[in-house]
Amino acid sequence: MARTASSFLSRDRPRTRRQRERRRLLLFTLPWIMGFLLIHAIPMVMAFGLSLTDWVFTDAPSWRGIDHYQTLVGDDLFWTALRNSAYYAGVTVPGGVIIALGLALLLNRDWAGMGMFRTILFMPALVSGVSIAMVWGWLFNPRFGAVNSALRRIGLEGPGWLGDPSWAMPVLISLGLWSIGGTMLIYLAGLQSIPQELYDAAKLDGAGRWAATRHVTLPMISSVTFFLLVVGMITALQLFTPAYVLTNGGPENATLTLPLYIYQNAFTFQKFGYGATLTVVLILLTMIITLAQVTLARRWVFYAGWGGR
Amino acid sequence: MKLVEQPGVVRKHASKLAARLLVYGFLTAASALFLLPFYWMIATALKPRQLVYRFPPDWLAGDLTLANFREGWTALPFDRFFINTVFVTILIVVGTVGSSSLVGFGLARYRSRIGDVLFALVLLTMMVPPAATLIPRFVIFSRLGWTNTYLPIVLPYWFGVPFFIFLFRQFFRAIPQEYFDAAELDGASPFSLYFRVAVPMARPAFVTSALFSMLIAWNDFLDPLVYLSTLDKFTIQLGLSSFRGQYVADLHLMMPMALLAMIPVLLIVALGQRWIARGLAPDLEK
Repeated sequence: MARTASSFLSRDRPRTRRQRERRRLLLFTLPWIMGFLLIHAIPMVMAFGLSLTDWVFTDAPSWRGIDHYQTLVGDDLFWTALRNSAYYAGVTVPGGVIIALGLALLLNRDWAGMGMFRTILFMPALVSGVSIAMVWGWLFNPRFGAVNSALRRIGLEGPGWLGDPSWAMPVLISLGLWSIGGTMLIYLAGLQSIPQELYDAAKLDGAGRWAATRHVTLPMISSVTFFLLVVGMITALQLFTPAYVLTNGGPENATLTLPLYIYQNAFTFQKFGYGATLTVVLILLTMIITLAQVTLARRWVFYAGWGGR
Repeated sequence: MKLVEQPGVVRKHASKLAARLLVYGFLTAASALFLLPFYWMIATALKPRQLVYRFPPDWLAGDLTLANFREGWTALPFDRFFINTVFVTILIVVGTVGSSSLVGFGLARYRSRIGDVLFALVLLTMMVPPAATLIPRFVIFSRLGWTNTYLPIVLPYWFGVPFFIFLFRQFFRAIPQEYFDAAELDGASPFSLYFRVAVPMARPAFVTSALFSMLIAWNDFLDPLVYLSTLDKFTIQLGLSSFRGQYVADLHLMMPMALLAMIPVLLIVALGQRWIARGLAPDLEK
């Protein structure tokens, strides 16, 4: 009798405990469950729904089917925006990762003054937004700016920068490359977590500084590099503020990025349906690029904890 | 042995010194390049107006003045913009840290298949840029009549932010189980486990999340641009941008205001800097 009671208990207790744990899990994660639905899932479904309609804010949406997607294929501005976003991301993401890694490798020493250098190089990462975009515009001002004045001092005549279609995007890229402090700090943390024994072993095998970097450091931080490339790409495809504040897409649409074109369609031209179509394209594009990176990662990312490739 | 230096050793020392100088030289040059925009902004802000628009510009202004600050501050209601931004930033930081830490605690403490699914959704959502849902979110919030209020800007942060949920989950998982067991034996409820065990032991994660969400809130531009329409509701970033629209040529007024917009963030991060490194990695032993 006592035995059946105890087996009864031991069979029953885990189940009620599991139920209790699940109730508590749902209680704590309730904000996120609601948030996922209200802020992420439903808006994404809505974006797709709106992309099949025409909608000027005051009227009811009218059904358009796949019209907008056909318009999009023939829309030169869409392809320009896509090209501009690709240009910005294609230079800023790999360039930023390389610069950040280079600086982190230099900073990863216990010499005097390294903390000061780290603080200085990190500072630009704190000041995104309109304020720094304005400073950038002033820095590259063709007539009174610091850049052209420095160029003139060494006998060069600087271009019109933000007023010049072929130089406007490079100016925005330079702002992106300037703010790589966060990437650098994450690399620095990654470098400091590489066990010293690996370098000792490499040294025993006769590896010099360069060989150790190539065969120990780079593989050991490849998972960090992967993370930074994925996040960097998602961020770069969202470029909006400096393009809006400094050039509003110009000159000659040279800085019209995909998010800016979405914004203009919705809030300047009141074309919410077409804006939603572009939104769907941006979401798909981001997902495809992320998935491609995840797939390619198997070839070059090394996870120390997973026992090799 | 070491007292008599061999020629090879001397050469090795010399090359080591050269390498050291090279590293310092390069870092100094990089730092100068990174500081230059800040210097240019401060120099412009402090120059008398007639010296700002002069070519070639003076790198070191002779006489400094605060006139630009005074004029810029009153050209638009910047006192209002600052109060609004502080208000919005506090609401966003409290919402982000509070909700993300509760959700992260739930995901770390109570394991089940539902928890795994929810965590996968957190990771998946990190991949969807917020700008991508701009239009549908605007449709929802404007239907609710929330335009020109702070609700559409602040409220999304109160549902948990994926990156911070991830950070808190990692931190709470690193807390040894015995602490929770001991508290539970004393009859602690789930919420007192969170408040009395988890929160005190994950302080670096709280400080780091507060700092990062403050940066996001303070520098945010797209949401205020879309939702706020009257000057009395504007945040600093939005105020600065409308400044540009109204006074195209008044760069000598924009630079001091841009500088003032950066100072609070730089100060607070400088104060909290020592926490950041600890807050990114759940290394509780140290």
